[in-house]
Amino acid sequence: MNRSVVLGVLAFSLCISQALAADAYKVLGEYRLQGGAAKGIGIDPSGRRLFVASGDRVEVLNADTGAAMGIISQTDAQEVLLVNDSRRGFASGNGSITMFDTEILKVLRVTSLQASGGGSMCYSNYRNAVYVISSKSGDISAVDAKSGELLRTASLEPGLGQIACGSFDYLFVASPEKNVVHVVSARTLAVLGDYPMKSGERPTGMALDTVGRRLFVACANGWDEIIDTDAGFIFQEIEIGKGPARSAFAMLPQGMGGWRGAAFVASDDGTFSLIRMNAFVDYSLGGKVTLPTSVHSVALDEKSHRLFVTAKRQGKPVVLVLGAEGV
Amino acid sequence: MQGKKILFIFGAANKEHPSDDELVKRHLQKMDFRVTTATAADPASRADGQDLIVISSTVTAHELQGKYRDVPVPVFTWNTPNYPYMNMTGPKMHEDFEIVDPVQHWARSFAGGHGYIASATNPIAHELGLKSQLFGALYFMPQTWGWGRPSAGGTVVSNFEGDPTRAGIFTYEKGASMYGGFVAPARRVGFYIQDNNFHQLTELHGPGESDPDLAAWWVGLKLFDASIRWAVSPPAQPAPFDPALLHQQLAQVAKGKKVLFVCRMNTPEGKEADDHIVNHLQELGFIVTQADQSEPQSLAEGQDVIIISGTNSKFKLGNKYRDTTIPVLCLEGMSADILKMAGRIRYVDYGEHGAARESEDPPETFLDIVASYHPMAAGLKPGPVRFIKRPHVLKWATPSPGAVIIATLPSQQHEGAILGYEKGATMANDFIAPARRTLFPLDNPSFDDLTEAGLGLFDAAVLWTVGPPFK
Repeated sequence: MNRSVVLGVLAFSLCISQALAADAYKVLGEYRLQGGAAKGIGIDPSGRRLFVASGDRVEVLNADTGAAMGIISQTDAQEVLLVNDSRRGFASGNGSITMFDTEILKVLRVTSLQASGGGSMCYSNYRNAVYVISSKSGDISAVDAKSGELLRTASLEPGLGQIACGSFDYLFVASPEKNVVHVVSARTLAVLGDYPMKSGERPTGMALDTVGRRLFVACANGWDEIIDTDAGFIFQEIEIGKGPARSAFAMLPQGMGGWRGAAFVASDDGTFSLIRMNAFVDYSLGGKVTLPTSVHSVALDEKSHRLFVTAKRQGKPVVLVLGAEGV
Repeated sequence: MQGKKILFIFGAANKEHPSDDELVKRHLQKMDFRVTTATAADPASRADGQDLIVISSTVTAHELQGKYRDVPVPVFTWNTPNYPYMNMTGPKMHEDFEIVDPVQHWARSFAGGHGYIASATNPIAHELGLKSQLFGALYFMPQTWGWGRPSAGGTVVSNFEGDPTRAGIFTYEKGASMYGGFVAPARRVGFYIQDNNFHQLTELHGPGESDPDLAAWWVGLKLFDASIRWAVSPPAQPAPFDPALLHQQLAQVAKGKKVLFVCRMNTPEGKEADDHIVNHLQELGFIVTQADQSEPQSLAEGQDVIIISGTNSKFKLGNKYRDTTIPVLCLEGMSADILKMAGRIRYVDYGEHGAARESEDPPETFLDIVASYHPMAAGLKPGPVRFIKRPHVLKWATPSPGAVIIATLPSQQHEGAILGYEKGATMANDFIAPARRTLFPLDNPSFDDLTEAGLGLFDAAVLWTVGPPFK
């Protein structure tokens, strides 16, 4: 990757019923961050808090006002992952992963990884484990989500993109260098096979619909590949923004004729793309929002139906608040 | 495929009419072909020096017409409306060819997701190790797809909608008779995709590749590739008709081989002709054992080939010799259903010309060679050949697509007269041929009446039946 585009993704399954009017999405405001960066982002919807990887910390903000609520130390914080059901949060960076309590914002354990840097994370409910990619070294590590203990580590290749925890005990890891998505065993961390890209080149961002088992792979050349993970088959391609990206997916059941789900893609060129799910075999571009800055990561608030996007605006790290007017 | 040249003919694409032609071009280049492009307006001379012509459905069929019909270069096409111009099918839409699309045929458009491999012995299916079964043709969503109904000289590789003749993939070998008796100047392949769903051809990646069932399902793209490879590979090169050489070749093979000749014994009807067949076989070097139709098939144990005479009564023969793993040459066309060479409807799936009170068709003298490339055609040229000296009863069967039809009755393309099933081929009702099976229209007492070409065809049929099966 040409720069450390950020991470952070929805760590929860969303379900909102209000109509999503993609074309009407606008920047409603922005929250300033105190740290030196704006990278991964996670949201605790019931607690109304945002957790943002920002330089040497994870900043905790009020999701509705942007007011600072606390910090959690993490050197070179890259990614935030919340496991809301268990009050556990995880932050990765600088060769370590920090487990914290999401309510009292207390560090519970800092675990050193056998890898440098930090990167994308995902949570496997089946394994009750957090998987973290170290983009720089190309390692993947499994950490027990209860104890924070390092379970195992395996080496892939440097420059890895986003990771997604899938069905059948699979992990999906974007590999820009090899232009594939690696399918990795969550149990052994062995690579079980690859999904090659079609029009897409340099896959980085990934979002998974765990119900339909569709993987949305954002590629740096401006294509989002939609993969049927049962066969590794790309059955649809959608044009998105260019550059490294991060993605998230949410089910959005709106009834007949409405959106059934959406993949959100934050691309490095400042394009924020919404991929509309019409059916499990039919997706279309639901809209694009061009932001006046490069963007990094995205989280969707199931309560307010707003999107939170980490970005740097005029050199300052911020969280942009996107929403449809009146929503 | 390295360095082989393809002329890719396609039409204009626009926002309203998207196409996958660029994807196809890149894919062919990835297969190491050198691809140049052309439009419908270009002259047919663009085919000169090419190894393959590829015609996309984006070309306007009525503009292109039969421009590449006569070129002695293989053609691979998914331009369904152009099939009639290429003589790949008849001219009637919905009967001879059809495009099924979600706008006109919503429910049927889903059928494009499920193709059926006609026979594991087809070279294209065989290359991929596919069985005769359903496969995922296009990704499961409403799709636009095309089918064509090839003539008797063509080969159905896969079909759709449960109709064995509704071919999604079909081929003509060089020298095969196409629609209207036109002889294929080179190999021809028809394929089911349309303008913009090449990218929907199924393929499998990731952990599923190790699952043989998944691997045999997601094969749409592999079938495309294998069909391309078949099209550009060297065609069959039949030697010209030489009855003496054929006789010599058969004699070499026959030496020491055992034939069980099943007939109606101790009855005058057809006896003389049966005796002459036996004599002919013995002269070639076969060791012939005769068995009556009513005797048990255990007599066939240890034999190399079973020949069922036209003197047999279907009623007395029963279901014998259907399951045997010994090759069978059947001269009695009315037993085609019992032996699973055809369906079970008399005078629809099988029948006869010239039988008094049983057929409204007159006796015949000629056969129409439709697979001149095949060893069983004995090197005879495509088209009509005098088979017997005087008009007589000739029997026929309409086989499943797993068969190769060598000759039909004249003017009756669906009535196969000489046909063969390779070992492992899918016969009627999905019966898998336990060994080679051949049908040859030698009603009693026609053996004595065979022309030189007719006897050559008989020898060629025996030679193929007893020969080593395709592996």
